[in-house]
Amino acid sequence: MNTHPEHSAAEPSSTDDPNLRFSRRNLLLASTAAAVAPTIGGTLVETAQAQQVPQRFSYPADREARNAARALALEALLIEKGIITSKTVNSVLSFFETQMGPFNGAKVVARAWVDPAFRQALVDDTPAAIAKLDLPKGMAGAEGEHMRAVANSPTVHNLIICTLCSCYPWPVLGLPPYWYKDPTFRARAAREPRAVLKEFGLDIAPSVEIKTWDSSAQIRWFVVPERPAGTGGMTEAELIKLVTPEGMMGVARV
Amino acid sequence: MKLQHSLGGLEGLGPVTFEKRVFVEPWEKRIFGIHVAMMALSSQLPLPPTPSGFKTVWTWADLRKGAESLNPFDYFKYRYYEKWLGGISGYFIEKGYITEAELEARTQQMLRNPSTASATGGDPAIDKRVITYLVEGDSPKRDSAMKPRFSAGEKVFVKDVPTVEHTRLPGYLRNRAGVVDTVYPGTYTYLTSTGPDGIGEAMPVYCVRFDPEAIWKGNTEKNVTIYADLYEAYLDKSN
Repeated sequence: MNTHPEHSAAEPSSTDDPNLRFSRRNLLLASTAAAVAPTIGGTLVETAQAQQVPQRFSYPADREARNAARALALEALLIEKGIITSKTVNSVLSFFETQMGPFNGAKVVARAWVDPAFRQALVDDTPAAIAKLDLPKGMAGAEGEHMRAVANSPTVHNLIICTLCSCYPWPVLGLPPYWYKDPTFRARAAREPRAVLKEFGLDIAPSVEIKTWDSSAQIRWFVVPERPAGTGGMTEAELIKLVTPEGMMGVARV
Repeated sequence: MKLQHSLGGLEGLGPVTFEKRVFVEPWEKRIFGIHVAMMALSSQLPLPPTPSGFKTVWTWADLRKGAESLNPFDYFKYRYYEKWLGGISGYFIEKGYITEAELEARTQQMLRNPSTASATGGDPAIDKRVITYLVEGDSPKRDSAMKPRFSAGEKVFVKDVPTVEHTRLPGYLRNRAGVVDTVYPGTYTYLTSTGPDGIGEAMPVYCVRFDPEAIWKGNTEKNVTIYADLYEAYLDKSN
C-alpha cells in the first residue's frame, strides 16, 4: 500500500516512512529550538544529538503497510471468533467523536470563565462541579472516574504530564495527542518545563510559578487556562470555541 | 526497574515533537478501538456477561506491562500505537484466542489486497457493554477501614521499592523527600498486584509535592513545583 503516491517508487524507501517524516520535523524543530530555547548547563549538545535522529533506527520499507494490515487482520479475526462485533471499533470511535472529547472540556472551561463561583467549585470538587453542567452521560466514566482541575492565574501556570504512560482525562479531553505521549516530552517536561513550553511557543515568565502534575495514580488532571484578554464582550458560546486541548493541558495559552 | 519506569528527567533527548494529532495513521484507530473493547469486556468488571468469546482479564495494567517490558531501544523506536499493536496481538496469541500463524496469514492476505472484505456480524449486546463501560468507568475507589498514615503538610520519604515488571512510582521520585499536599478521600485499588512493588490492594493515595532542585540539583529550573499522586505503599515517614 503506497500511502504517498507523489513519491516515485525509485526514491529511497525512506520517503514512504512516516517515522522519517517525523524525524524531518524533529530536524526542523531542532534548528528552531537551538535559536530560541535556553539550555540548561549552557550546552548545545542536545541539538547535535537531535540531528542524529534520522540515523538512530532503521525500519522496514513496508512498516506502515504491515502495521495497517496486521491491525486489520487482528480486527477481522476477533470479529470472526465472536470476541468483538463488526461494529465495535467504529462504535468506540464514534463515542469519542460525539460523547467524550475536548468539546466537553471547552464547555467546562468557558463556564469557569464566566462564573467565578463555578470556577472555585470546579477546583474544589471537580466531579461534582462537572456533574452540574449539561454534558453527555459518562463525565465520570472511563478515565474520568477521578478528575481534578487546576486553574491558571497571573502567578501560577499548570502543566499536566504523565511520565509513566499517557494518563489523560477522557471525558473532558478525549484522547491524548502524540506530543503528550512522546517519551521525549514526558522525560523533559519533568525537569525543564519552561524550556519545553518555550519550544511549544509558550514563554512563561520566571516570576510565574510552574506547577507540574505527574498523573501517576487515580487522578486525571486538566487545566483551566486563563481567560484571554479582550474577551469581555463574548458570550459563553463564543468562549467555548476559543478553548483548545493544548490549553487544557497547559502547553498553550488560549 | 526499567528505563521506561524512569523517563522523568532523562537527558539528551533533543526537541519535543509538537504533533497534535491523536492518530497519525488510520490503522491506529482500529487498535485503539480493540483495546477499549478488551477493557470493557474484561472478566473482572461487575457488568452483565455478554456472548463475547473474550473470557480473560485485560486492563491498562496489562497494556502498560507490555510497554514497560520492551527493550528500551524498542520503546523509543516504536510509535505509541505500534507498541499497542504488538502488545495486544501478543496477548491474543498468548491466551490462545488466535495463533501467530493465522494472524500472519491474514496479514499477508490484507497486504496483497487491502480492500479484503471485513468480517461481519456479532451480537449487539457486546457493543452495548463496551459503551456501558465507557459511560460508567471503572473506579478504583473502595471502602476500607484503612486510615491514612500521613496527613497534609507532612514530610514524607519515597521508598525505592523492588519493582519487577510494573509500577506506578516514577523513577525520578524514588529516594526523594516530598510534602503531602492532598490526602485523597477513601482508599484505592490498582488494576493488578504489582508484587513486591507494593500496590494492588485498596490503600490511601496522596498528592505529594516535590522541589525539583532537590531531585536534579543545579540541573533544573527555578520556581517550579512537581506534584505526583502516590500510593501509600510507596511512602515512608521522613527522618
